[in-house]
Amino acid sequence: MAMEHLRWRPTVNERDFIESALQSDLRVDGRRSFDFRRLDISFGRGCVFVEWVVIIDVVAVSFREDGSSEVQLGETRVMGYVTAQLVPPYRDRPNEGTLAIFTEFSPMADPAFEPGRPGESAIELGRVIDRGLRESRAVDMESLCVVAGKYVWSVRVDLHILDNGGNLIDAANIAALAALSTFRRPECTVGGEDGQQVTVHDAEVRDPIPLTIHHLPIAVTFAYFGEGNIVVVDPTYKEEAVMGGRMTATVNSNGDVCAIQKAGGEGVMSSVIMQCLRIASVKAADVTSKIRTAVEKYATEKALKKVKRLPASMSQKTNAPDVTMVDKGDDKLGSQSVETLSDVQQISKDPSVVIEANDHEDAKPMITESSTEVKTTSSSGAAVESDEAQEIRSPKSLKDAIKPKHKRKKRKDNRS
Amino acid sequence: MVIHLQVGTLVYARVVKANSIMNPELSCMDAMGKSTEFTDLKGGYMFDTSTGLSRMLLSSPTCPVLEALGKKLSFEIAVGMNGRVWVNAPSPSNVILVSNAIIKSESLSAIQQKVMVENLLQRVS
Repeated sequence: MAMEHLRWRPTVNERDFIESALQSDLRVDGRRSFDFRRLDISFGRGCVFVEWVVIIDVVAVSFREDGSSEVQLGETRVMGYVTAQLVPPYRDRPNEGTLAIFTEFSPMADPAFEPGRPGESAIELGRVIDRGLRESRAVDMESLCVVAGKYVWSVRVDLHILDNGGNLIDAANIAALAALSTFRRPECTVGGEDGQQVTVHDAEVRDPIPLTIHHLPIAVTFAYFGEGNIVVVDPTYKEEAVMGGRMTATVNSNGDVCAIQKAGGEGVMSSVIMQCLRIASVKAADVTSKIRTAVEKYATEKALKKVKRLPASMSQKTNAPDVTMVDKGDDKLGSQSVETLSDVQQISKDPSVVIEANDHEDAKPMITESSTEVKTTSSSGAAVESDEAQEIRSPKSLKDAIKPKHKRKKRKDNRS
Repeated sequence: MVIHLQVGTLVYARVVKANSIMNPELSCMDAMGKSTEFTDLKGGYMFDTSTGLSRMLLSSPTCPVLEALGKKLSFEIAVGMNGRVWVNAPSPSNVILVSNAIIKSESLSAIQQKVMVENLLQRVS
């Protein structure tokens, strides 16, 4: 095969050392036999999906907010993202949605990966994750049905391997679960004369809804060395090159075994397999809690962003120069409002218009919180001007517009 | 003199010629013709680092991380300009300690390196 010459081969020294160190229960990166590497899960705007980067050209770039995750397990990095489409269902399952897993082994992850057709390991990874989710019915398919026999949601999970540091299956599985947990599909209503017309609502009109996920099946990979006697969890890239065999057990935190994959490699005794399954259920509980905390943290951050915070001055609509202004904004207001004053005076003549503009600014979250920063970066967007218009209710004079009388410091040379 | 080596042997050698047209040429003797410690390395562990780190390890005076490690542990080390580093010590735990310390020292300043090595040695002993 063409890619054989690109596959990294360990030297005799590395192979001997890794095996002999494992005899004394030492792993090369200092971990213990059953320790996972450090797991980091991040979501949302941090992820950019770039398709076919050819040094200079970028063919397609898309930002995904909901339903994209990036997982880093030690040196291994995997990005997952979820999309959904309305399609006709399969004939034999007219009231179930579908779930499909696609993997992309990019050559930037490992020189042994070739672009184009997925290789053997890519197909195996896709199958293991697919089996773990589908057979255990982790994602509820019947809730994805919109019109039985005509329209169902087809959920597609794309997994991109960004960096191969060993143990891709576990990392990709976590990425898939994290992405599915944060994915929101648009809400749709069925109506029309015959009850067959489906209206898919935009995210601005109706909040998108999450998928129903019953449990999280976690994949735990074991590597075997030295004729099946020595077992380690979460092998690194070098350990994978040296190992004799590998087994992946997909277990959930309830203790159910969702899938087991052992493709070739050394023979292993059944007692060792049972021990591995016990270890896997312990690890699965740990990883499940990590995924859940990360997902909750992201959900609360998103919810906070949506909360519209009105500026403090809006509460006092009567024109009063002694309006409570944000202290931080004071000095910055002074410098900025001189420049934008002409615009402000124009707007303040029509306060009703300004209020409406403020209310419809759904797309601009955190108006007040970012207003001080917006002012410092001297961007005169509509938000800034409307804020200043609210706070400067009735400018009696230019100086009043900058700072109301009661806030000005008394200066000998500058009587106001 | 023909040296027979197995595929996968680790060799510490001097590069005489390496260009795209001809086969590369390695030598076990240094530029003067004296035979030195260039040889095939037995035992120990090898890992990859950046070429910048390997230059730092080869610099004289000895770089802080190697000095701090050398005070407490006994080990031998071979550093290649291509970023490959070979470490050997009597016990595997020492080898692992030295290799992890070197990998982590890349972005640290001299004082930070000394502190990192001290913490590492304290945790182990």
